[in-house]
Amino acid sequence: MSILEEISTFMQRGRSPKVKELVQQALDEGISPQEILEQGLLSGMNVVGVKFKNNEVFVPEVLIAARAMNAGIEVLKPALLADGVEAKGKVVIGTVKGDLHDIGKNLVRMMIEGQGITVVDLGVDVSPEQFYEAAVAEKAQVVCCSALLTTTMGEMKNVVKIFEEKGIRDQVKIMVGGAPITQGFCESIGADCYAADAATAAEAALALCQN
Amino acid sequence: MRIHVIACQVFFRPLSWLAARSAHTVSISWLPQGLHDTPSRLNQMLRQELDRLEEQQEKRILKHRPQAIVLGYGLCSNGVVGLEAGEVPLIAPRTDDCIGLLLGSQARYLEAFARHPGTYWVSDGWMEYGYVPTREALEQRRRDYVEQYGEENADFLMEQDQQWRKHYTTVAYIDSPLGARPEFREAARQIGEDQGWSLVEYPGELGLLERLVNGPWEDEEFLVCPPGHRIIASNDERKIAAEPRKRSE
Repeated sequence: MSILEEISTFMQRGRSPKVKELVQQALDEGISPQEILEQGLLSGMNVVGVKFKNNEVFVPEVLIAARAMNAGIEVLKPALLADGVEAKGKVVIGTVKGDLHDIGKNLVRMMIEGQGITVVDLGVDVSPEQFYEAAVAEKAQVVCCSALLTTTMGEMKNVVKIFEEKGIRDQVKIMVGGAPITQGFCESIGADCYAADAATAAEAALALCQN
Repeated sequence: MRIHVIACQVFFRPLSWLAARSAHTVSISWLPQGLHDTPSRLNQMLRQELDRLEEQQEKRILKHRPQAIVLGYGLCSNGVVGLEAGEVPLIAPRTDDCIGLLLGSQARYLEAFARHPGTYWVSDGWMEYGYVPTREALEQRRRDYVEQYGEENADFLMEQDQQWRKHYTTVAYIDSPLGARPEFREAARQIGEDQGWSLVEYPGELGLLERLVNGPWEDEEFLVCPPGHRIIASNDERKIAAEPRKRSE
């Protein structure tokens, strides 16, 4: 097994210390940081993402894999920066007003960071005004809103509305997700993108940032 | 009238009591409490139950056809979305979940939610059939994590689990209008103490559950999904709506 395959395998099992060690070893062997990221870490995360979609693994497995991925990325960061690899975009993320559940949001944050995108995490119970102000201040391309409850999902509509009212709706993409959210709901409130799971959210964020 | 109810076990005592006293002929099938955590499974089990009823009618195992099928479920994380009314109307309450039903109205639930968004709701039915985050339960969960994912990941996973608990401020105990159960109230108080939440008590109200079992199913409180239609999420305060089933299906 090549070292990149080993990184991928240990990452999928959520073995953070082992992943860190192997990433360092790969760097020492002269493999480019970009290659380690893409062939080792991101490819491993894709496998986990697919398994999650197929109900073969569940949230804890994805959480520990994402944690291991980020542990590997921490080791890679100085080398990536030295190679002049820049952030691929910027997103702000938070759970909507009244919703205090952030396991899903934290997982999405880790996965988006894994794509090389800068994430500004606004935490929980984020008002439409806070989403708006952060998106402007950070010049974010994407705003990600998460909700677990059917009682709070309606707040996403207010997030879309505030960007419309302030006249900058065309300058940001709004992504929505969380257990009760559907494609139909996304369309009904005029959001740009619905992500059914964290892996899809990360891919979609990358695509939206690069547009 | 013959009414069949498919309900979450969280309502076992109040719905059984109401069914026993109903002027209608009521039968009930129970599904396990906690399926809202996996809404697709909840949806699948509701479909299976509807199919089972349909099949028993076709095979004449049931001596009498129900004239209405009632869901003892709120929207429950969209668990009821997509369910289809077969030969008879399918009735569902316009609530987010069991809390509005136990409090007696969706409005009462929304008022309480606006006051304390970070509230962990418990009721007697929840205590009897559901997961209660006692200290022992949390310790057991950590042991499970160690076994499955290793010591190194267990604390991280527990921390992820704990996040929402840290944001919560309140444990709300809905008492039963069928008679006080001090042990459940005490359990609620204990959860509050363990988690650092303050205890708020709400009186349970049977009115909405009573209308669920017996009707009338007024449009303000209930969706009556006619035969040949299915339930969809309305994405507004009415929670659910009915749309004609597609011809090809």
